[in-house]
Amino acid sequence: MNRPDLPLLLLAVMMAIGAVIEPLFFDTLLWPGKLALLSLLVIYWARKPKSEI
Amino acid sequence: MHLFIELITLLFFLITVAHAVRHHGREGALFFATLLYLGGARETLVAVMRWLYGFAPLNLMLGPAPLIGAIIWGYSIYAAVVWAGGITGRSPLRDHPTANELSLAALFMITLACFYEPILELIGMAKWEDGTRRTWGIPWIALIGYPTLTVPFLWLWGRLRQLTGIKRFLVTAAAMTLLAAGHAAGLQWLKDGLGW
Repeated sequence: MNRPDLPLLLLAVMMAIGAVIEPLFFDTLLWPGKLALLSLLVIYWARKPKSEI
Repeated sequence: MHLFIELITLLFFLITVAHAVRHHGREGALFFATLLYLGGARETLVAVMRWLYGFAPLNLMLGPAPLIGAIIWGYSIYAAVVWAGGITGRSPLRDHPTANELSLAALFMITLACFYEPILELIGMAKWEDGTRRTWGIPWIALIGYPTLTVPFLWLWGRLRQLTGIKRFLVTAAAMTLLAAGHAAGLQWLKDGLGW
């Protein structure tokens, strides 16, 4: 709860859940949106000093 | 599957509300209360007026609108604020948002549209009108819809939080009602006009 980036971590968890459910139940992986969102999250974590997270 | 997605989203929403209150206190709670009203009002209008998209019968409802439709706006816009704040080093929730921060929040919401919409289509939770134009399951109009609710909201939030007491409550309620109605109706009008 203390981590300022918690909402973004939850989005990463949501993406991981989708990456499991989609191939398992629908025989597909919806990758373009996940890739785009992952890119923004990587930019965030790359810019933030570890001491601030 | 629908119930699982609804419960996960509700759980993440509640964690996010707790996070906002932990980090921003009363303002964090007010931020989410305002977004819950905005999201609820907008999705209720979409459901009642049959604008833009229809909803599958879901388990958790807030009046005529699915609960997930009402809460996802708050969850997403708060995440956009956290992301934009991390990039600029300021908090658009505490300070009046700059054009740079509004642009970053808009970019984040466009990306979320690319993430959410194909999933909603795949599992049949939201059903866009027949003939809606899409790429990779992403309705083109959603790329406009997500940021155009977020940016006016954040701009208004920055202005309205300077008010106090009952005046703040009344002006915020009126502004959010107008934003919800204007956004849903305006997006339907634009979608029809563009043939999207």
